[in-house]
Amino acid sequence: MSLTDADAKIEPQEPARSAAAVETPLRRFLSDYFESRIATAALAVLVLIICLAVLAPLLAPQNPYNLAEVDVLDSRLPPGSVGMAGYTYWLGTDGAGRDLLSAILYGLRISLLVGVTSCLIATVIGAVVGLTAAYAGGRVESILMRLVDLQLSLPAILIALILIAMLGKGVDKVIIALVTVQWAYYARTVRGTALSEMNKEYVEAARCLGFSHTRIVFKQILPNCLPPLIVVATIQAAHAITLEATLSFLGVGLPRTEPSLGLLISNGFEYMLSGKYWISFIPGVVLLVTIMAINLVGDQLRDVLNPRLKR
Amino acid sequence: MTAAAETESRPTLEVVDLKTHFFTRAGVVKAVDGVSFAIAPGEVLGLVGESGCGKSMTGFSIIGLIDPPGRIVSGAVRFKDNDLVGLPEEGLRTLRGNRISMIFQDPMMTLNPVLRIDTQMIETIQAHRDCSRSVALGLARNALMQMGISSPERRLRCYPHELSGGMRQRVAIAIAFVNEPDLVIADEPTTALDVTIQAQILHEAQELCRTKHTAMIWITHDLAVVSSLADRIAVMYAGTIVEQGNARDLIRAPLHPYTKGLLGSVPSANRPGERLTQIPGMTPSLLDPKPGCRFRMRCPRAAAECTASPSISMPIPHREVRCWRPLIAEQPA
Repeated sequence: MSLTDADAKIEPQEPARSAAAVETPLRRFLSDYFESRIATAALAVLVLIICLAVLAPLLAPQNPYNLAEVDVLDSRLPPGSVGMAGYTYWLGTDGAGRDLLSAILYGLRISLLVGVTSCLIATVIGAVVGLTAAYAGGRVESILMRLVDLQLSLPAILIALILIAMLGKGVDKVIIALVTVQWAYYARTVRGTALSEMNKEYVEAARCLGFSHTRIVFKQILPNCLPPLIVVATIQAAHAITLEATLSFLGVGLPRTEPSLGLLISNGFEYMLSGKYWISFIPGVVLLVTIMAINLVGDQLRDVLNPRLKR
Repeated sequence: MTAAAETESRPTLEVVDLKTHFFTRAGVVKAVDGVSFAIAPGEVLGLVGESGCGKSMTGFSIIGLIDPPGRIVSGAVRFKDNDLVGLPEEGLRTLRGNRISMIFQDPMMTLNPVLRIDTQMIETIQAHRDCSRSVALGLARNALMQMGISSPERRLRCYPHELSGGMRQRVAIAIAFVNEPDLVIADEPTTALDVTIQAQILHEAQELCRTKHTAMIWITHDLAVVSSLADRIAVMYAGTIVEQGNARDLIRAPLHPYTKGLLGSVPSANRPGERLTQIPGMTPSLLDPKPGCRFRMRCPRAAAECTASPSISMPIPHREVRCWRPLIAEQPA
């Protein structure tokens, strides 16, 4: 017991809790998270990937969108070859003569942007729908949740394809499609959590304090729904990136002028059988590593944030 | 009796023949069935009874938080000038937490686990008045200090799980008092605490009521707690108040056989080793209660007339009892 005399005099009924005071929820969360070496590594990789994507214009040796910088004569060079301008293509070039390293960095940027943006928008929509359903109950809940069921009963790729076919190509259109496909997951998760939270006494207490409904829902219940929401958002972000890559690979996602990872893979696909594996293979590996890193981080978050698995 | 309770003639709250029934598939549960009482400013009313006798439901009825299938069937809840029964939700909400607030049994459950104490207190203040964050924070700090919390600055930055049980209940009471309400309904707030902390919290809550002229309903099953705290005691049994009166007189010489039974089952330090008397039988179901005195199945004094429902009588001044055969002979001269 390391309580000072002064403290002990003022509060004789309070046991010493100086040790507990040091352990904030955040600190406990971090120490729990970093217990797993794989998750730590995954987080490091993810941070690295995000940095690469954000800083792509500074890091990339070439601007793959600037046709003046791209030399068609350098097309399909294997990794490590030196181009016409005396420049070394460390990861080779693609069919249009673009430096693959630069294209991957820029592609990563677009993939992450699309994935994260759609994920955020879907989280907000899903959270609002889920909370409304749980709090309102009755007919509102039935209608909203049947809508969710309907959404989840159709294959994601099918809905996305139909939407893209209707809306046309473009980053914004792809984001709309991804949000449409994903909001239902969040709505279902949030509703489930909110329902169990609503039975807790603090909600009753909040009603007794005369809080308005919006105040109760967004300031009292929502913060308690965040842990599962964060986990779902992480996993769904990875899912969104994969889905975007799939759409781009099928040639319906992003325009060819703004290649995401999926489009790069698709571009190299025709050269696969002629031995020029790197054009598809390297972006594929980057995509794989990104998705794996996000999923591993998400898994660890789920374990750490789940009170039932608390050690 | 305090001076405040005697000089103020107008009661803060007047409950008149309140009936709250729950319409379940099995039948009508008459949780509160004709409850009447009044509280003056600064007065503490102890509402005592066994589990399931309707004391909490009385509290929830007053602030209008009865969820379906429950409903206030009849009666009036006069708070200052308004009748709260039938007041629209919006009107009730401006009263809740502001003019009338509530304290619950388990502070671990009633404080939001993911919000810091300061956030929760500021929320409560700003829900009812237009003031800046820093003003609200000052009020919150004051409220904590009044509940005898040392170093309120540090406590304000804590999460509920970082505080001890007693400290949490102090915070919950401070939140209830932060908007200086006219009425506080405390629903067994010290039941989950150990005896020493219970005594301190009782003392502090009593102090707050006296200094701020706040009327308080202290709901409990523990006569010992209420005898030292309350000015008046109302004993509830099976949805009705069976006896009501000045705390000291009621404890010393109960009029209703049920009150006597309750007092007999409180362990007393004066009679060590003696077997506690118990009230035979079980609390009756509130589902479609039969006419007649509800205590008669367990009552040692039950007689033929008890098959008819007794009404409230005043056999001696300032003492109300709902019994055909009150214990008048045992009253001190």
